[in-house]
Amino acid sequence: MTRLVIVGGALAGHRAAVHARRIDPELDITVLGAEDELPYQRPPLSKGFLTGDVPENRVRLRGAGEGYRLLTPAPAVGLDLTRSEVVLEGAKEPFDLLVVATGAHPRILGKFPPGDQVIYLRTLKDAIRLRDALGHNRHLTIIGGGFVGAEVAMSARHRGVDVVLVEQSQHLLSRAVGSRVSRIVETHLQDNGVTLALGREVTQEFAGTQRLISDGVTTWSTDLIVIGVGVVPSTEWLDGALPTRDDGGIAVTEFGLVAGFEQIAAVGDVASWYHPLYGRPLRFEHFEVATNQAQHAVETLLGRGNTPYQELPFGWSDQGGLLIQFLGVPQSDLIEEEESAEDGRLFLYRRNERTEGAILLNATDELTAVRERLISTLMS
Amino acid sequence: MRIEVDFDRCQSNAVCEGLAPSVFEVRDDGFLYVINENPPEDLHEAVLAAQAQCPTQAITVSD
Repeated sequence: MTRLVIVGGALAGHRAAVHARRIDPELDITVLGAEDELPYQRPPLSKGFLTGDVPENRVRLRGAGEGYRLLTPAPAVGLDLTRSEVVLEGAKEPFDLLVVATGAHPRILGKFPPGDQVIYLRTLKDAIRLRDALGHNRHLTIIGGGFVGAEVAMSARHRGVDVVLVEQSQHLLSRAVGSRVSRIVETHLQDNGVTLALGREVTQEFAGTQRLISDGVTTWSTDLIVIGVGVVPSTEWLDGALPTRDDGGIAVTEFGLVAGFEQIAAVGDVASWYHPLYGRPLRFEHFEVATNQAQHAVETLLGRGNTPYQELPFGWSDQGGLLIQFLGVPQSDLIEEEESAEDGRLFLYRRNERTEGAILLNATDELTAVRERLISTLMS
Repeated sequence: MRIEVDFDRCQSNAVCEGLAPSVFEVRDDGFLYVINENPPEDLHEAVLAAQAQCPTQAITVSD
């Protein structure tokens, strides 16, 4: 019987397993999860889960652990290509086909080691700690003005906690969106009582039991720190066994296979997929991209499809009253132009004459039309 | 009108439930259920709004 092993028990790994089971009822499927959890989704962890609107059972994925063998906690520590085995602590898992879906882990700041009052938000356990901490702390400092930082800021305000959001560049979301969209998000956060410290880098010191944060201009006392300064694809365990690209992700072809391998695929946050519509490799940390890639790669691996992956990237960030949806690849170094929209606001991002991405702010009605427009532009 | 939900995409955001509670329901198990797959005409507008506003684009509506 063919043995499919999936390394990673989060969204991408779970989806790969579910889709493989749909295709082949006979397949021997094993999912190796690093955490001691049933597969769950991360998007609510920085939003509704922190405000209490989304309980723990709503974070679990539908069909989690059903239709495949799930081993947890079973973090992979190596890949033996000669023997076709995933190496675990004290065990080995042989495979015929392999999907790597190990995701990513938070980048750690040397000046802010993780601890009881310093949380790097990634896992369900991290989110539970933060949710509880927001109940008995009055002042939160968030370091990192990306999507996670902005979402946590809004969630904490909702809980009545004072929030300072620190970002070292001049704008929030500066890697993902243009300055006009940044400005709208900044205003939204400020209107909700978040204090912004943009263009600042911070240090901490202790005065008795007080934790003091200084940005070089002002110093403030804080109870709790959340750090969201990006993630690093989790490839260390491979020890160079699979090729990687400059973005840190595993090098994946447009079909979903790891470059140079016929039996190994990589999907989700850990994967740098060559995207034919963009003519370059892209790595995403989006819910929907992980789902789509998992399904596509499994079809390729099982010989059920041999088409390049052409899905238009799609993601969203819900910031309490401001829903940001992004299509394609909007980047801050592209030309940002606003177009009129019936409701909400619509921004397009172009490189020369080619529109490569779009951002919709509370403009859900525009999504389908913009998606079709982008696809036709990118395919021409 | 016929409603289909792509449960690989559905994230139980419950936006649809807010717009059309007699059609969509997120139950205690955390998962979305379509409790009326062929809703009557007076609910069509609400269902179309749910389709448009679903953050993950998981709802498909056909005639």
